[in-house]
Formats: sequence, C-alpha cells, structure tokens
Amino acid sequence: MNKKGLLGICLLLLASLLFAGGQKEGGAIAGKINVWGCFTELQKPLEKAVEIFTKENPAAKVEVLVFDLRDFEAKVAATAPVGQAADVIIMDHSLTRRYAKAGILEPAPAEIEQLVKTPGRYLTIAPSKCSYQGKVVGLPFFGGGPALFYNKDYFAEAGLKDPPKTVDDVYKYAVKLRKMDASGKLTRAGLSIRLTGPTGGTEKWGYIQNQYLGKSVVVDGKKDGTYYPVLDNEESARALQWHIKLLHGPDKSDDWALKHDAEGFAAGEVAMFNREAWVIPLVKEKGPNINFDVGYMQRDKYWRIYDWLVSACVPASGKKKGAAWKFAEVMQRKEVMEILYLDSGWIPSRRDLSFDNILAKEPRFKTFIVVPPGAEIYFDSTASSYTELWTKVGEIIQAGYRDAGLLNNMAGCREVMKKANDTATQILKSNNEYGE
Amino acid sequence: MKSSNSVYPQAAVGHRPVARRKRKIKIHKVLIHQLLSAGLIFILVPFFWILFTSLKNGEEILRATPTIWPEKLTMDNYNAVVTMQQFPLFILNSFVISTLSMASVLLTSILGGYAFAKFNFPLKNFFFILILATAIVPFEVYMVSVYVTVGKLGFFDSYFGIVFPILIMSFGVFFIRQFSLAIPNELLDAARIDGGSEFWILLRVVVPLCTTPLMALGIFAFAEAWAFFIWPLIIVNTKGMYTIELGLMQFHKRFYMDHGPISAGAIVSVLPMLIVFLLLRRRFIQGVTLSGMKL
Amino acid sequence: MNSFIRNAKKNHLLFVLCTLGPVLLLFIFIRIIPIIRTAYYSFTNYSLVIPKPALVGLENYKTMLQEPNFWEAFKNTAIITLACVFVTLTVALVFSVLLRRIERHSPIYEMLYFIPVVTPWVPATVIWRWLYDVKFGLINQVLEQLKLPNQAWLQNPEQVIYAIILVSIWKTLGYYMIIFSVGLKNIPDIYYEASYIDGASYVKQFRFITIPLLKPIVLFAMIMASIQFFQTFTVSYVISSEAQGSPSYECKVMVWEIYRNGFNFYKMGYASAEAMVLLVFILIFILIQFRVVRYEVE
Repeated sequence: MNKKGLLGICLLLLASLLFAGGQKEGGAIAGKINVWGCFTELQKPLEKAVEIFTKENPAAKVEVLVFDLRDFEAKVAATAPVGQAADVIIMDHSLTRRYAKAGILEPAPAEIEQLVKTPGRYLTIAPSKCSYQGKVVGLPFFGGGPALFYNKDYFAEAGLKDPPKTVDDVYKYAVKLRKMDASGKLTRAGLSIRLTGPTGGTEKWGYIQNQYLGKSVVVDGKKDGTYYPVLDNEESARALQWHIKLLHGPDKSDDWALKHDAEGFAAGEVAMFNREAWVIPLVKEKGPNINFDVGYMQRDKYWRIYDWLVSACVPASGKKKGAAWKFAEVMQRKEVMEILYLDSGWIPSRRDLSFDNILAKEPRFKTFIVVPPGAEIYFDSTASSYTELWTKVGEIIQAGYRDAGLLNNMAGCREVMKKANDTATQILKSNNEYGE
Repeated sequence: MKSSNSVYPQAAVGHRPVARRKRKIKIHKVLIHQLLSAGLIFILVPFFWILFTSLKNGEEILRATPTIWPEKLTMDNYNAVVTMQQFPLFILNSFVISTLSMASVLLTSILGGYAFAKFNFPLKNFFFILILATAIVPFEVYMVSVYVTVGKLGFFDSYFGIVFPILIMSFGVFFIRQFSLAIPNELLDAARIDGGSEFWILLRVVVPLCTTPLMALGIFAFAEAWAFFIWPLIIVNTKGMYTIELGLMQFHKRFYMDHGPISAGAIVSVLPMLIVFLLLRRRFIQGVTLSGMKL
Repeated sequence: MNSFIRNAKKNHLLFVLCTLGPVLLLFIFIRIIPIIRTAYYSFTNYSLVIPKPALVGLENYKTMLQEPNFWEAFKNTAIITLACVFVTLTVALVFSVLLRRIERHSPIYEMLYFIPVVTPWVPATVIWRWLYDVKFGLINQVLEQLKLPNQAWLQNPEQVIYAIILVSIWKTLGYYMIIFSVGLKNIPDIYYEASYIDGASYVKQFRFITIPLLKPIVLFAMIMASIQFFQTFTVSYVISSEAQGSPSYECKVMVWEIYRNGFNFYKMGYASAEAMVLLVFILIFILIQFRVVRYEVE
C-alpha cells in the first residue's frame, strides 16, 4: 500500500466518520431521560429502577450512567452550569446545597415536597439535608453511618467478647488487640485510623470529637446560611490527643505502614475500625475467612452517630422534569432498595419499608439501620465551602497525627486545633458564610 | 541489517577496521544487550505484576502477604471485562476515535511543521511559540470552555465531539518542524526550479523524507487518543458512545478499587496499542530501506 | 530573476496560508480562545456554581502568592520536572545510541520499552504502590537482599517525591527512546563513514557528529519533557489516593492544586490564575532552552 493510498484512506475516514455516530442535540428521542449516578455501585439498582419504570411507562427510555465520584463531580461541574446535565442527578448532600444555592437545582414540585415530609417515611433529619432555604430539592435515596467493625477471632485471642461501647474502651481494646513482631514493629493494627485523605480524615476524626464535644467540626450559625467552626476547644484537643496516643508511644496501635480500612480488615491486618455498611459485602467477598461482627459507634459524654444522605435531584434546566421526578420516585421502590442494600451495603433512606428479609439474610445490617435509644444522628455541614473546609482542616489534623512531639502535649494539640479553627474561619469568611 | 547502503556492513554508528574489531564489536554488542535487558527488568516488572494480578481472584489480591504467581489461576477478571455490556462497541469507539485523531494530527502536523520549518512569513516565531504555549496549559483548566463551544455546535455524543480537542497536537507540529529543518534547502529549490508546485514538493519530497518521524508521531497520537479520558467523560451522555477507558471506569468503586478487573482492563487496553505499534513500526522500517536515497 | 523571486515569494505565502492557515485556525478555535477565556476568568471570582462572575482584579494572584499550598506544589513540581527531564533524556539518549548498534534487535527492545508508555496510569500507579509497600513490596525485598535498610517510600514526605519521579521515568523512558531513535536514523551514514576514514573514535564521532546533528531533536525532547513533567498529575494523586489500603503521603503538584481548586472547591477563577502563572513560568523556561540550544549550535 503506497503512501498516497494510506493518506487518501485517512482523509476519507476523517471526512466520513467525523459526523457519524451521533445526533445533534434537539432531535430528542421521545421520552428519553438521562440519569447520572455518583457511584459505580449504583449500576444494578438503577437498572432495576429502569426495568420498573419502562414497564409502567412503555414509551419511555432511560439512559443510566454511573461514575466514580471524582469524575462525576467534574462532569456535573462542567455540564450543570450550561444546562446540559442529566434529567436526574444522584448526588450527596454536600453537593445538593451548593447547586441549589447556584440555582442549578430548584424547589421540587408540591407532591414531592409532601412525599419527603411524610412523617415516618424517612429519618427525621433527612428532609432538612436535601432542602435549601426550607424548600425540598431532592428525594432522599440512601445513606448510612458508621459502626464499629471488629474481628471476632482476634477478640477471642485477646480474651475479649463483646464490642467496646465507649471511647475509652475502644482505646483499651485497641492496645490489647494490636500485634507486634520481634523488632517491635506493628503487624496488626488494634484500631485502624484514617491517616491519609484529608476530607475523610476530618470526618473520621470527628467521630471522636463529637462524643467529647457534642458538636461537629463546623456548625450552623443563627442565620440561615452562616456557619462557624468549633475546633478551638479542650475537647477537640483531647480528640486529637486520643488519636496521637494510638499512633505514637507505648500504646501505639496503628501505623502508616500497615494496610488500612476495609482492605486491611479483609486482609486480617486490622482488628477494629469504624466504617459504613458497605464493608459487609466487601469483606464477605474479599476476605471470606474473616469472622467479624459489628457494634455501635462508641460514645463518651455524648452519643452521636454520623450519617450522610444521597438524594435524587432534578436540575432546573431539565426539559423533562415531570418524568424525571417520576423516575426518582420509582428509585425509592422496595425492589430497587433491596438490590442497593444487599449488593452494595448502603442503607436506604426510607424507614417506612420493612427490610426484614434482608436483615434475615445478613443480620449485621441491623446495627446500621436501628438507631439505639439515647443516640443522636448528625450530618456534615451544608456550607457551600464544605469540601474546602473538610480538606484543609483534615490536612492540618493529619499532619498533626505525624507529629510525635504532640504525644502527651495538650498545649501542642490545642495549638493545632486553633490553627485548624482559624483556617476554617478564614475559608468561611472568604465565602461569605461566616456567622455565629 | 539493512540500515545503510554503505560499503561497510557493520552497524551505522562508528566503524572500524574489520579484522581485529570483529571480536571487540561482538563483545560490545553482548554488553549492550545485557545493559538493555537489565533496563527491561525495571520496565517490565510492573507490567508482569499487572498481568499476574489480572489472573488472580479477589481474595488473593488483597492478601496481606501477596503472592507473585497466582495460586488459583482464574479468568474471572477477563470475563468481567470482556462480558461487560457493549464491550465490543467500546473497543470499536476507541479505535475510531484514535484513528481519527491520529489521521488529523498527522495531517495538521506535517502541514504546520513544514510551513514553520521552511518558510518565512510575518510573525512566524510568534505563531510558533503560540502553538507551543497551548500545550503548556493543562487541558482540564480550559476544558469547560471547550465544552461550551462544542455545546453551542450541538456535537455531544458524536465522534466529532469526542475527537474535537485532539484533532491537533502542538507537539506534532513541533516534532515535524524539527525534522523538516534537516531537509536541505537545495533539494527543495531544485524541485522548485524543475517546476514543481509547493504542494507537489510537500507530497513527493517532504512527506517521503519524513516517513520515520510521521510513523512515530502516528503511534504517539494514537496512544494519546486511546488514553483520553476526562473529555469523553464530560461530553458523552450515551453509553453507546463510550470508549473502552470509560467503560473500564465501572471498576472504580466508591471506596476501593476492584484490582482484578482493573488489571485485566489494563492488559486489554495495552494490547491494541502494541498491535498498532508493531504495524506502524514495520512500515517505517520498510520505508527507510525502500526509499534508498535517504538524503 | 526578480520576477521569479517575487513569484516564488507569492507562491510561498499562498502555500503557507493554505497549509498553516487552517491548522492555525484549528488551534485558535480549539485551544487559544478557551485559554484566553481562562485568562479572563483569572481576574474574576468565577466559580462553577456562581452563574455571574464578577471582576476582582489581581485578588486571585495576591491570594495565590501568599498561599503555602501553592508554593509547596510549585517546589515539588519543579523538583520532579528537573529530575525527570535530566534522567529520562540522558538514559533515553544513551539507550537509543546503543540500540543503533544492534539494529536488528532494536524493534523488540523499542516495543518492550514502550509498554509502560501505553499502560493506563491508574493500574500502573497502583502496581507501583504495591512495589513500594514497606513490608512486602518488591523494592524493599530487593533492598533486604542487598543488606540495605528498608525505606518507607510512600509514608515519608521526603521519599514520596522520589517514588513519583521513578514512576514518571518508568512511564516515559520508552517514548523518548523512540524519539531519539528516529532522530538518530535521520543522520546520514556518510558522515560516520567519512569520519572513520579520518580515523575518528566512537566518542569523537558521538561528540562531533551525533550531538550536533541531533540538536533539533534534543531541543524538542527537552521542551516536550519539561512541559510533560510539569503537568504531572495522575501519578501523584493515585499514589496517595484516598482509596484505602496502605495510606501514603500526599505530594502536592501544580496541576493537582489547580484541579482541586477548580473542580473540588469550585474556585475556578483562582484555579485559572494558578494556571496562568504556570503558563508564564514554563513559557519562560522553554524560551530559555530555545536560546541556550541555539547559542550552542552557532
């Protein structure tokens, strides 16, 4: 084949295929709606929802795309402001408020608002987390907070039986459960602490802070839309010190060199850690030999359990909002929820359905769905600078974790927390969100 | 070893009297092979690890003490990748996009590169630096602006929309320019005096002389287009237009990565590109020897 | 003769217009206009979720110059770029010269060295994380064999950057080997033969034939590598990714800093300003390279 031929073919390919394979937007197929999901695990439940939806609406067609969270954020960030987003976007509450504030989401129609506010249908606090300025902007879909996973074999080995209930007990158990080799290096973490990834780091550090302080990282100010940080206090410093003592010194029960989190637990390198229910199917698959159970989040002066919310929202710029909201409702049906629950381990937001069949198959889910008496549920702040706040505060806290000089140094811890507090204040101020 | 038409049959870099040198050359060659093979260990170990991981099952991959060769060889990961919905379509889309991009990059690079190398015109250096400078700004930064442009034209979910940002490559223009600089002006002038039009010169003189760099550029452009991720992610709203890289995204779970299928996906991604590499490489070796007059 | 020259000049300009013209138009449409828009945004408080951005003058730039994250990212990126450019290009050059001498086998080597270049970043970096693992990573096991101390590659802030440099070199070596190979092939054998007749040694040939004639390609490689390594991104964030497993220290690099400010914190105006500063700095850097190489050629 001579070069001219090759060049000719290339040009022909270029010319002919340039316009193939796609249609200009506007020649819409009747009744097609786009749905975007923020996690790849949503594929199967959404497929079920599509099945139900198209059975009830035969003229409709649904295109479901699911993404990795980082990519999802980029996609929505690029498309939503120019009105090119999907008809239904499934996003978590940190994004909902931001987009509502920007006008990308608008208040939901009256029936949806009624649905969300139906007593008993959702967790009491849920509606406020998918609302903006009192108006509902999304349908709560799923969520679920953390509980304490523990390895029963390691417990038995250390002569322990029941899961620890208080923050102090968790500390004591962690020291008992850790394992070290001859040279003094840790080979098994007593408690797996979130050491990198600042955004999650703030959240996980916050589990302990909340039990001491009764408040979480950044709280709402008096006026709607204002917030202020609650990091510059003794309790927060104590929370930091609690972690430091587990990372340095004689009670060291975790190390950067070990495997962490669900992967570490499945590999048998972690005795205890706090995480959400999605760990259950994961460990069953990747660590079939791990004999584990779940206990409630530890408590101290307060008993506060973290929760989060993912809702289905319909952008204001969508052209098929009616159909979109209908689909969002179908997503709430029991059959869809069941797949989500069993397959990925996320807790459906609906509290008015009975999931006994699932709980019978996997009783460990009970710990995640039943709120123990005396415990309070809390969510992350809805500040629009949420990501920046959590990331930058987390960086400071995780840098603190590395500092062995903070061991038994409360003054030093207090300083670190003050720095975090000041950083948070500055971020809030530069976003015009600061207010006590 | 037909890399040169010279009288001397040895390798093209450096020559010596035949007799005594033959043994020394042989030793040199062996040493070279050893050195390059040592380098290959560094290069290929990660790749083989990916290969072995793709053949392990999920439990084995996550073990605290990882095994090297899989204990239980399993094709489950490849199954998961190859049986994903519309997998052949994804591969086809990737091929089309990559080929389109490659063709366009080659065309624009030879046109631009030759013009910059052998012609003088006002603001030549300015335009050249301008084109080069566009490569410095990371694509993600101005990606949303491009999106708005493509949006106004309405080309979502089409091959054109996906390939739009990679129709050109600054490095391509730069690359061909550097090679075109080496073409002797006398050759071009002689052709002009003989009455050849500029386009004829481009087609019949310059392009044949640039076969080697063009083929290399073709491989690079193809590989870049294949790996292009963030833009197709943003522009494509229909699963049917997904490229294979987008299709493999489903294995990036929320809180962990499904290493088995991801590794299998990596192998599946690499293979087509190696095939393209071999095809083009063979062509440009031929090109070099057949053209005979290589300056 | 004058009319011949005038005609030739007219032909030339017409030719340039017809060839470079459309190419330049494509660049303008696809790249330059969006980049100019970005430059404009750098003077606003443009956020992806604020529909109407307002001009804020030089405020973004002022904030950036005082932001420690920015400078840390800048420093890290500069170190990575210099180290990678120097090592990758030197090794690539040496290897491709050596490859010339075993011409028959070079395609196999070239293909194998090219494999990392086409391996997708994400699985490649994940594998390297395992190689760097403190306990079971291959690298530390090799060090043990050599009686050298184990390093906590990814946990130590000073060492993460070396890990990133090594992975980057691994990923791009084959690419530059091919570039230099192609460049070497274009050096006519006649020069070598003639110099041999004059009694030149390998080294002399390398110094006086290879290097000067390879200059345009070396310049290309230097500039391309500088730009490429300054845009290091995926390596650094996968190597310290939030996906659990072994945690590792986050090494901030420029594009990561820009990306997260733009897409995670939604401060697109600020991110644009950072990108503009990046642009100016690298532009100066490569213009210096152009000057230096040209000077040596004269």
